[in-house]
Amino acid sequence: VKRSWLASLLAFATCAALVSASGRAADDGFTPDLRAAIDGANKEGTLYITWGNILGGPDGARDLERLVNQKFGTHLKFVYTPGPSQPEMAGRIAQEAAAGRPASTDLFGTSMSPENAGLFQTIDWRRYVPGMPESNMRYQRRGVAYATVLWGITYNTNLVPKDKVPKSLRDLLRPEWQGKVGVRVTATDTGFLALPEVLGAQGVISYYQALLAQSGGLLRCGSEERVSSGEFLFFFPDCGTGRLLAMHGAPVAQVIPVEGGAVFDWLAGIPKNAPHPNAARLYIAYLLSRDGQDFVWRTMGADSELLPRSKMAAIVQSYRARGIKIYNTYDVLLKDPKLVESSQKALTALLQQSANK
Amino acid sequence: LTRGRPDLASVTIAVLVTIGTLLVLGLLAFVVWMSFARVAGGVVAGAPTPANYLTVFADPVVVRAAANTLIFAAGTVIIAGAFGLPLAWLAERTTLPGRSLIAAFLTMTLLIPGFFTAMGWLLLLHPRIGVVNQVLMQWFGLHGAPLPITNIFGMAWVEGLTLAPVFFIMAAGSFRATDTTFEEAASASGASGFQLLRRITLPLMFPAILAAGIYVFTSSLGTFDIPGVIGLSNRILTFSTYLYLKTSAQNGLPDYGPPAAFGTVVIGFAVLLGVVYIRMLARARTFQVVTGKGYRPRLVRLGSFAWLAWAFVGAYFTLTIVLPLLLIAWSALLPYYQPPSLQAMHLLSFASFAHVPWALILRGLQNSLVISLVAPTLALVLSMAFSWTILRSKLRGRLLLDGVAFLPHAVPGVIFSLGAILVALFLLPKWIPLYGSVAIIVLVNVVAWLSFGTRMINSALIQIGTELEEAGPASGASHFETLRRIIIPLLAPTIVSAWLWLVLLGLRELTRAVLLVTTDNVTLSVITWSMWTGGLINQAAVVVLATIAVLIPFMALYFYLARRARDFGET
Repeated sequence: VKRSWLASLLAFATCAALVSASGRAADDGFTPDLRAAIDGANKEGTLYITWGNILGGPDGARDLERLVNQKFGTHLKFVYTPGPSQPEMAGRIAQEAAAGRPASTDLFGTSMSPENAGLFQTIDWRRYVPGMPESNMRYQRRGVAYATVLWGITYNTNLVPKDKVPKSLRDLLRPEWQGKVGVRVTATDTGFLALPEVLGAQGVISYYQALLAQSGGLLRCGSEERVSSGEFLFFFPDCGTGRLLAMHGAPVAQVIPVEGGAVFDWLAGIPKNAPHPNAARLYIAYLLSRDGQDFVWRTMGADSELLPRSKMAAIVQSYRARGIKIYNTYDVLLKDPKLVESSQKALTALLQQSANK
Repeated sequence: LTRGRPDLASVTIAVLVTIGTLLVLGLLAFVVWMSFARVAGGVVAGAPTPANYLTVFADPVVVRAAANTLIFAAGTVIIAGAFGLPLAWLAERTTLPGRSLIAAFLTMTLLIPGFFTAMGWLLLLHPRIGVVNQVLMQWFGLHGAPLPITNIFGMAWVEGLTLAPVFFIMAAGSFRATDTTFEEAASASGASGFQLLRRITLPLMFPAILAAGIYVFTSSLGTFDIPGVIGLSNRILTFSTYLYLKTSAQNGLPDYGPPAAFGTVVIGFAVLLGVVYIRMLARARTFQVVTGKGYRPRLVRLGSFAWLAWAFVGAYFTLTIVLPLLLIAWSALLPYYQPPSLQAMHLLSFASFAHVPWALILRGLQNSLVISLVAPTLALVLSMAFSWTILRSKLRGRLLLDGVAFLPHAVPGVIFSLGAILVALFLLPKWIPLYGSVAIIVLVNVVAWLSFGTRMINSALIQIGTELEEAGPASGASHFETLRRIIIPLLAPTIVSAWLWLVLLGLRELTRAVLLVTTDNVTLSVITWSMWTGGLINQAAVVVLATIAVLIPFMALYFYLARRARDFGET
């Protein structure tokens, strides 16, 4: 009798523990994949982030370390290193992969493209963020959109008189702006300019030739401070992140040219040779959560228009309501990949040649 | 190495010299080999090909970069000479009161990283945000900036200012040692001070000036600091920034072939310059005398012109350190950079300091300290082995070893970085994790400093009589014991001084590190540069101030030891 009583007690305790554990799991709202990532991340202990001013740069990495650990109950250490532009980082990841070395970053933050998408892991992010739309994932689920930025012309509001703010792309070519335009160093997401109704395949090349002859230098995304300082009066095509500086009182604003603007999504990806892939999954899963989206807005002045309660979606809608044509660069790529690819290839060659005036 | 049965000391020296030779020649040979290699899919494949050379010579970007590099290096020599030569003359050949301070000022200047100065000069003379240009445009109603720095001449101006101390050190040494007999004869014949300078002193100094010029020229050929800060974002490429761009591909894999081909051409050119340099130095020595205790150089009395001379010294110091650093401090106090104005004064605060990523800075500092403490130590150990073999052994072909040790000065350091990356990625097995490690930066710095180390130890070793070394074995001591108890203590002042100098250079080094860093081995200087180019201008400025705070104790120690060594020499 004593033995059966002990067995019953043991069975009850086991059931209670199981119920309690499953209750906790249900309470925390984490999916099994996310829980597995948490376990894996705890073993990894570290996350390497190598980029420039993305998501608040070093400050952002420090804040996200606290927020991610708080949300997932982990004790991860985020190791932020200021690095080259993301397209350059893709080149470095590719070289490291070819040489059989681990990547020097666990995260890729912006410019995923058909050329570099193969470097990243295929992940179904809906298994980590239930309810996330399929459309947030791109390039066979190798990248996931966490921020939508609006493409246009950033200018210095102190140094460009109101009546001379460019209205069209051609206005940037006016002689008075010679040497004062900073051109984005990469041609990523410029494919829509080659559409017949915008500049056309040949038109975009002629335009870039004139623009580069006009430009004072090549700028990376996140360099809007060089416009607010007056070093450059314009940044085109900008990366849509000048809004944050403007929110802090810096003399910058953005204008969408009459030819049209574009939205493009910044895609996060995890390199196949990432040394801490589970920690990277938690980082991205956090960015896709509501709290994470608020963080993205605070540090970049943007969030993903595809996710619920997006502020960016409202902004884009307001432009469209005013009759301004706003293209989606990914849709353009899907619709006419050959046009986009050939146009970006030609523009990249022009940009490389113009690296030395 | 010495005749007789090899002992522990001889074997150790032989091993060290072999390691040093393999490092120098191995890295260069790999660059040359890579220049003929086909790289496909990130790995070397196929038979050797001249295709990389054809690509390089057909590329207008390379041709312009090569022309820019030559103009930049020549301009640097002119500016460095324009400041360094008169300053050396004032310090060594005049009665200028307090002239011994000039050397201290210039040493301090040399230790401030060149790219800090460049950042400051951009804020001073940028065509749109440069304070000086803005003031001049307002005063004179000009439409364009009268003194734009964003061109190859502006870059040469800043590089020349930062390398003037090198010219000073080399010229001062020559002014100190040149035979004054001719000057005395000319003076007795009634020549004025100016005539003396123009017709006697400068012609006598010519080989030394030329040698200093070649030294500065080769130093600036591959420098990254100033071309990286001023040139890169203003579309002016030089050799080093071309290498940087090519090895940081924006689309797909980096193409190492063309940069290796360009690097090989520069190696050839640099070796040629190195040979000319050594010949000039040898010619300069024929005009020198072994000065005894009674030797006193002839000093020119400046009289009432002394204030003008100090104004010149002050102007140099202000241009090189004070103004650039003031502008950097200004930008550190702003939330986003604005040129100095009353309006911008309202934005000043210490908020940037609260946002400084201290964890990142400490990581960079830790790596920088490891590199700047370990690399000089290893470089000097290798240098001692080289110098000993060159000056004390009877090894056949030992003068070739002197050439090997000199190569790292002639060949731009960035080429050794390229060689190290190529070796780490393509040659070493995966279980040797050199790529992205602190060790790879240490290794490249050791190679780069071998030249400096051997020059320093060679000159100290020459002054130590061989009878002292012979006394050791005569008393029954082994070679190792003789080295440890006689030679090293005698060399100690030179070794300590050279070590500290290299520590300071290591803390500011950017050119070689910029190609080699990843997450695990990032240095303080690369953090600053990355922040600057990534648009984090105020945070970069804060890191500059933090770096200077780190440099100050080392500088103080250097000056303290230099003073002690001088006092010791005088007593």
